[in-house]
Amino acid sequence: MTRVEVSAGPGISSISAGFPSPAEDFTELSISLDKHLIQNPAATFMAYANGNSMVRAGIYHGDILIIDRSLDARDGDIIIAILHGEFTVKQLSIINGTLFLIPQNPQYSSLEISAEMDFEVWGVVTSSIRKHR
Amino acid sequence: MIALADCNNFYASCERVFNPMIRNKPVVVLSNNDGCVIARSNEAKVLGIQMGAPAFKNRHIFKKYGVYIFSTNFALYGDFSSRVMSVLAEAVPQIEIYSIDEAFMDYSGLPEPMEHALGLRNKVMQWTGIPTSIGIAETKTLAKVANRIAKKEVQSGVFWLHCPDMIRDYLKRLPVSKLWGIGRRYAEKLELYRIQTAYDLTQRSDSWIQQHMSIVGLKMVQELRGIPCFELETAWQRKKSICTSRTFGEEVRHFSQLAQALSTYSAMCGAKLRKQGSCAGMVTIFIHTNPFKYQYRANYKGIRKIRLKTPTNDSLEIVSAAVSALRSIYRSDCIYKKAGVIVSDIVPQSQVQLSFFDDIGDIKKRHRLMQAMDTVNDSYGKMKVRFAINGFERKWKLKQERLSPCYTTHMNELLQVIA
Repeated sequence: MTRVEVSAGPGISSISAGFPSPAEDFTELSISLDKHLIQNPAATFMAYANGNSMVRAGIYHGDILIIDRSLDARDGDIIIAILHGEFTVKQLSIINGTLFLIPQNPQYSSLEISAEMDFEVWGVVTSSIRKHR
Repeated sequence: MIALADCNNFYASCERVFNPMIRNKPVVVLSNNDGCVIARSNEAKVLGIQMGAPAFKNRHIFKKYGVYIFSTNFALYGDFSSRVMSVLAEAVPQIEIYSIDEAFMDYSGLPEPMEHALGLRNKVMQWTGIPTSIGIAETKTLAKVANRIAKKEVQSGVFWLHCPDMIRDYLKRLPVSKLWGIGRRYAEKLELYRIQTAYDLTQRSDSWIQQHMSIVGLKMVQELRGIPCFELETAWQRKKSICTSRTFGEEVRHFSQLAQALSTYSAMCGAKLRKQGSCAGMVTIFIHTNPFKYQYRANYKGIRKIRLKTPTNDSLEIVSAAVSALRSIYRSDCIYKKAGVIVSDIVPQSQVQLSFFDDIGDIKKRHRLMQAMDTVNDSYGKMKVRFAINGFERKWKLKQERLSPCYTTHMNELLQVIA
């Protein structure tokens, strides 16, 4: 999780001759997907989606989910929940104080969360990543 | 004011974050080679499983009560430790990371320490899934006492040990053996002088304490009296030496097996040095037989130190030093049980003096090679890229039969969620 920057070689600083690069004054840090996608590294975890219940939300089988546990889940969030001891990804819907887990695929049905269910919100999904090749 | 945050049953708690099935169930974590119990969930403690108990002696209890057993997964615990520490560090001006699962925090000048600690405990739980206890007091030693109370006696997991009467009452109940830095043996010695509780100790004169317990002991007693003597040690310190050693899972006797093990440990030492940005000037290797098991065989401890020409963190150089040293101490008539590599005389990488014969171009190239290796190994798992001598046949490897996935450090071992 922690990024370790490795410094230049033992006791070596490179000395270059010739003209300085005209771009030197304009160099910026390269884009980091980590920084772009992860607000709170200490609270961020990753998981693979396994199944097709969320395809209409753009989450396909094998996608990488980025989960931020520092966020409080709100109505409409895609969440990772623990339901009867298993992890599942679904959309959270809160209607008049009642929680529902809504799949994003018409072949699956929604689930109302009742008090006797073993249920817990584990984290909020902030992005999903799919590799195309 | 000082607060001590300590993770509850840390290793067992880490295993639970990705495994909801084992919440409220007895969980134990076994030491290297799955030998002894080194962590227990509260449910396992209730079953009477002792810390350090050999696993084989508890097998019937494990089976009877359905205890969940795990091999040590340091990649996972290390990752969770750095997550917890970074949440703590963000909440206070200064922090001293005291061990993998505890940290002292600077709480001076906080108007509402109780509320702060309760909020922080909730935050660590929500962000990382790890339960903690926080003890608050005027000194580090008293914070340790307060943490013990927070863990064992209060529901909220947070305890502020403040007014003098309260401190006195708790110290009267606290066996001296439970004090910070006092082991069981030392406690036995103190009992000869009729010192049984922490309170008894605070009643002795300074000169008596210094005579019987040294200057550190006196400081500790002063801290029990509420006078701060130990400051937060926040300065990041380079380790003076790094040791990588293992007890083998099976019998090892051939040179090539030992060379494989030692070169792997050497490569790991090199990676650790590079992580902290330092170089080592000395490499020590050792190989041990098991004095208890093979009495008919030679009992032997071999050790060898090699001074490096120039301090380095290049795994290749450490590997070759270790292997050539092994040639000089290896004996073919022994069965080896343990081996290790220690790198010492550590200096910051930026202060290394190159010798006249070092080829800078070469060093730069090798440095880039090490960087490339570290990058690959950091993301795909330890030792994925290795030297040929490290080998693939790993007879000397740890026995870790119940290792959980490295959920947070290996891309191919991530949690699977049902979609």
